[in-house]
Amino acid sequence: MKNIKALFAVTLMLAVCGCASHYVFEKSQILDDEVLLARCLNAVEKIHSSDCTMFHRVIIEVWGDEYDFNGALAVEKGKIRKGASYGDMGGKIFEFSSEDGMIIITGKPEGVPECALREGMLGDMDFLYAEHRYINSILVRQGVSHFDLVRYRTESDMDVYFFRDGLELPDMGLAVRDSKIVMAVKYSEYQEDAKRALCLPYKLDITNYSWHYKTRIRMFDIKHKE
Amino acid sequence: MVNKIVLSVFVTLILFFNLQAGDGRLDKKGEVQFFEAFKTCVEKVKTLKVSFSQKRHMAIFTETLDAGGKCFFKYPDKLRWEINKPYKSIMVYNGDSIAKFDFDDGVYRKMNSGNYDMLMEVLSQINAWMKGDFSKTGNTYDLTVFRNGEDFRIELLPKDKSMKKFLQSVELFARGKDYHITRVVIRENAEDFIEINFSGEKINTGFPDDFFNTEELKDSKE
Repeated sequence: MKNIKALFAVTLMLAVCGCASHYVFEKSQILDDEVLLARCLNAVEKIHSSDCTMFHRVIIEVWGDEYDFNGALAVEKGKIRKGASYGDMGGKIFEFSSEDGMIIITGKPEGVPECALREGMLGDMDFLYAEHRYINSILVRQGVSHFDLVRYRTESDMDVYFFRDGLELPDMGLAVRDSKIVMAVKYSEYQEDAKRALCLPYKLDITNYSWHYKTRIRMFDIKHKE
Repeated sequence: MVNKIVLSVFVTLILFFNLQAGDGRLDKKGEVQFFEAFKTCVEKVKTLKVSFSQKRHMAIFTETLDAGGKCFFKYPDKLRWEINKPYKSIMVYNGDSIAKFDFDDGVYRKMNSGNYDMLMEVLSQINAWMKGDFSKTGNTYDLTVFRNGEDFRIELLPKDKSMKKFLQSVELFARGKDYHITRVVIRENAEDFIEINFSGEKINTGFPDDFFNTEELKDSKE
């Protein structure tokens, strides 16, 4: 446990002075294709469930050291509602729930700063599973074989999704805050749920550039509210 | 009417105390005898393979987190804890070192565990209990043994105040006829606890030593 405290202290320092890449494109790269835009927006809707409980295994890698746990995360009406995670042999690691839209952290390792949890892991969860309002969405051609769906939360905060030509669902997502890439997630192992018009990724590989850690999430079950 | 209420309360109290008597606490002499008998029985176990199922009850969720797998023990200090579902993960302890292997993309990969010290402590403790050695347990826990019919329940309550914040108790349920542990309950509070049930044990069937290799994983063909 001392190790985890030290690692998070180092991470906290590095996060303060760390730097991330900027997300950039030129106007000439913007695609004017309303049909493709609608298809991409629909695809991004399909990879999010607004009411479900997910059961998963998580491995976090901080400066080469790995910490694994299993847990559950509930999303209700497009908002993160509650979550808990435990070690292989049962010990509780994290627990949080939301009250009146505020996330209350009720369990965490002693040495882990709350800001690291809120801006790091909870920020990642918010990108992955919560619903957001967007002021605009555009398509940007980024290479010969792929383009991005760029969804603006504000003028400088964007949620970006990579699409390969010919594929219906995104390969990756980027959280861009203040024009900087703070987090990237690689989606894979999509499982279709035709009944709910969903296609949820069961394998997610996250790199958080702000807090300098990687997270591997492997879903083993998703229960939807009937 | 009042008499009926008094009578029903009285009957309930009698029933309650009778039920409690079924889980009777052993006195100090009884405890010493129990641990001697326990150690004598488990000392005969040179290798053990047993299936387990674990159920994690979470205070903030109605669902439980379930997992299952196999546990392998080789006297005196080798332990392998394999989780097979709903995900695959293997912990190997060989007395000197510990390793954790995670299954992803079709292969097991050795993890660079950041919880090395904590895992060593937990698995060495479990290893000691597997051998019937509770000698060091008393330093950390207040230990009480209860008889429940033919069987026994060993209750461990942490002594340390800071430990009590996240661990209320550990209960080990031992079968009376052979003193084998059939169930473990680790309780953080009334709603947050994990139950581990053991079944299908195979004793002294043997496994090769490299089955507990912490450098390279030898796959379970057991």
